[in-house]
Amino acid sequence: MKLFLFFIIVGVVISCVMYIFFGWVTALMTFPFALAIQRPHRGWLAGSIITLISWAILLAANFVIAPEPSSHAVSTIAGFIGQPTFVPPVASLFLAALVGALAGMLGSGLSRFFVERHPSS
Amino acid sequence: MQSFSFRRPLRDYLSLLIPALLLGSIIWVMESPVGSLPPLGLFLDVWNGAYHTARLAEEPKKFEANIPGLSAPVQVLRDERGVPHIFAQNDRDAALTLGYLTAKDRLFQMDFQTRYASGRLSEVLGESMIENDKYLRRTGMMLGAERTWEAMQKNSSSIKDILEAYSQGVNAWIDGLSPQDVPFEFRLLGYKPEAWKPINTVLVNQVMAMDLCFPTKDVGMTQLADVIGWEAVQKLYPNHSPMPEPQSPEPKGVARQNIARQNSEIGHSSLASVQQSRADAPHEAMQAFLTSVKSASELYAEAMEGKGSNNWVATGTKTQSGKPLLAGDPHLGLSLPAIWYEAHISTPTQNVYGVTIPGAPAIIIGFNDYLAWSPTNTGADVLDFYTVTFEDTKQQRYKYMGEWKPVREEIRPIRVKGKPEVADTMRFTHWGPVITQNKKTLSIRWTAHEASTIMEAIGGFNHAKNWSEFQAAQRKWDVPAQNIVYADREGNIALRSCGYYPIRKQGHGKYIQNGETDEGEWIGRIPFDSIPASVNPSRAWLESANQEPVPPDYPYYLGYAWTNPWRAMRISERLQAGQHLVPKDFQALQTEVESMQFRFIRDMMRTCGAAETITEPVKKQAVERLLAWNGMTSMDSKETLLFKLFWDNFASGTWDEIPDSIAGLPPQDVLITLARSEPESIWFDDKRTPEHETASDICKRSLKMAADTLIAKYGANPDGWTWGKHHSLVIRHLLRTGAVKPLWRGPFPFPGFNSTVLPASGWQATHSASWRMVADFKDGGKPTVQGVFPGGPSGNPFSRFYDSQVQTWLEGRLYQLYVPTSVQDFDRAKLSQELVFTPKR
Repeated sequence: MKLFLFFIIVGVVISCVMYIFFGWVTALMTFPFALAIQRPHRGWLAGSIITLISWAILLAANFVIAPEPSSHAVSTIAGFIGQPTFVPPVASLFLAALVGALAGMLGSGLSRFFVERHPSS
Repeated sequence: MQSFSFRRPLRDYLSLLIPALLLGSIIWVMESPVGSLPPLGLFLDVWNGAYHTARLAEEPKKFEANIPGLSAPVQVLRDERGVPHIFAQNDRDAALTLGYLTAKDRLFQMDFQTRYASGRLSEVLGESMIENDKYLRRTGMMLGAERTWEAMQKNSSSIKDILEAYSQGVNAWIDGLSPQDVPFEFRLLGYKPEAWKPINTVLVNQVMAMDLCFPTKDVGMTQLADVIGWEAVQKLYPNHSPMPEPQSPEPKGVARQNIARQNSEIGHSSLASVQQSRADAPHEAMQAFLTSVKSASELYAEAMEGKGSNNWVATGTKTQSGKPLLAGDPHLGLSLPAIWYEAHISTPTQNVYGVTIPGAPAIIIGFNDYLAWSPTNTGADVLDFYTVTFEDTKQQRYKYMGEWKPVREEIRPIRVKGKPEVADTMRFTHWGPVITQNKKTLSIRWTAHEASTIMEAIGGFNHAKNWSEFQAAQRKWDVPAQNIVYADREGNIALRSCGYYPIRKQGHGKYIQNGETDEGEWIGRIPFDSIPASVNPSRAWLESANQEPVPPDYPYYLGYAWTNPWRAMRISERLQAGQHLVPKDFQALQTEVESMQFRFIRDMMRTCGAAETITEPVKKQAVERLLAWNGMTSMDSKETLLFKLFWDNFASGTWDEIPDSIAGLPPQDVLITLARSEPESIWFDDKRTPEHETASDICKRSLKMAADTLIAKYGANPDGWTWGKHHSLVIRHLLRTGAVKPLWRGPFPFPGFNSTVLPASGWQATHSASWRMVADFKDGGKPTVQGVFPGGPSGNPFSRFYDSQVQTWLEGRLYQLYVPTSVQDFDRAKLSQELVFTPKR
């Protein structure tokens, strides 16, 4: 469990840094960690948690750095997609969890593929 | 140890393939535009999407940059309203800095407007804009801009250096932008800003010229003659307002010897030629042209009421301080980012404050230490259409004065977003660009096709120290023609309709001209000393509000499509009666909302007998209430709604034979004059009934219908008739399209009516005062000035400065404009940001 938490924390930090400098697609970087966790069955969970937390941190950072403009941004985005104001941040976080989970699943899959020894081999 | 093998159960492959495919799909959806919508990632990306633009709106307290092209350090201090105060050591550095700052705040607006003027919207908006681009190119905006820039280069004018410096500033900002840093609209539309060129500044002025003087009724007038006849067109759309309210009490337009009288209504010989040109430009060609105009005009050149302006000035004999007071509020299609960019420029040769258009390197409306000025649109006829008869389908020669003249061809492909280029061959006659629709052709001549010196005029205004210098600069003002009101610390006031007004051989340009003859040729321009002007008049005040500027005996033809005189009448009335005037009086007049239409039609409404014939108590009460009304169309008014319903019925009931879509309905002053002076006119007769209706009959019927609609649609409770509940104003994004509605502001409940001093046409107004300014010379020294505009300095929709002045503007309040004399003099309590620019070595 400690190792799991350690990887989550490291994953969140690296994910945030990668996101800031290289864009949201680097959320996929979570899957190597899921792979590294060596727990293939929890890869989706690790990926989901890491991505969700890192996106939530960045989302919150916007409101710390630029509170009023970020609020305007949320209401404007909501206007563009024709939804209530709470929807854009919730949608972003849902997307984060989904992308992270898929990336984690991919990591788990790779882990099984390359790390697990297959009985028939 | 077991070795790795690809021989695995299908489940293992699927556990890789399925998440990989789903992830790929999500990435694709996030990064790809969906139809006209931007990529979803722009909205959902929590760091680099819209939120990045939001973070850019939170500016640092101190900002430093090295800018290439600067000759010395420049300091810029933004006050609490975000207005930049530029302190530079020379004019060139000031222009460069203004370019940098304007790009920083309004880059999309600058880019988009110049694309509009040069007919390059398809490049960024796609193939739906191809026809618009073709039309915009054929207005000749680019032609005039190229001629202007060419003339500047040939004359090596100082203004050319200023334009180049401004461009350097804009490009310095653009060069430092990352893809995420570009304004939000670029990201929405998925394109990047391109480098700014000096000619773009000229194009920005062309956009203003397009907005203010391109919408013309020449084509509509010609087509309308088919429907109602020539005599009717001349009667209902006269050259002169039947209720004249000339702005110049002592016009300087003195008829010169040997100059034929230009200003009479069109004579019969001229009419015959017009009729010939009508025959050459059949209905379908003109209809297609009108459709093109409407479509392309949706962005800027909307021909609608509410576009105009007010300005006025009073000498010390009218004011409490004994010194001049000046007011100005140009009315335009309101937009966000705002039309205007407020700035203060201080150099050793100028200390000028006011508003400029993003893209222009100087203050266009404003004041300096010595004087203040503000324009209104003259609305003169500065554009003509000519029929073109080609020799054959190759369209290489056209008939003129019995000979075949060569056509100039220019091939400029239209680049289209996501599609192959479209070939576009433009043709030019000696008049200007050729527009061909349905194999029929018109050619356009417009004052904006010629090399302009307006930039020199504006530069001169900024630097002028007295009336003599200001007047010298006015000589350079050409397009768009404007009535410029002036006041100075020496106590002078003036109003001059500056601009380029063509003189036609046949004396007018009201209809499509016969292009086979030279009758419609321009043979000169009204001399500067003869354009309408008044300086220090004995009545001690001057005003203009887009009315016909001169009395009917003015010796030159100026135009015919004048704005209703209602605003001018009301302003004149108030100034005439005004004594001991103070800035508050001018401020109040800028937001005044008395309906003059009501004042002139009230007697007929009272005597037509409508109130007596209505039996239903609630309707009768409503009508009686209207008849006792004071005409004030304030938001809490209960009568305006009924009057609006009545007025619309009265106009449509009278003009039932005239299609609104061709040239609009006849002017309101024509309607009222006809109702009062010719109540039995056939125009009041409803052809659908056997009786001969009079003006009074139509008035009575309109009032009854209005009362019926009022109760049926808005209920019997007068609370439901409150004007502010039904009349609003909306400030649209400059793209105008409803697809970016979240970037609009409003609708706001709004007072006013069609042609009130505070204009607000229709049920939801889109045009009104784009800037309000009141300048007071009370101290005999530098003016004390107040101002406001419905927007803010920033073009970033998430910035508090995007719409920061809107509420103040809605409330009719003004800001005291802060004019520090130096960096040291700047009150630090007002400082919101300090910017330091140093030369990049």
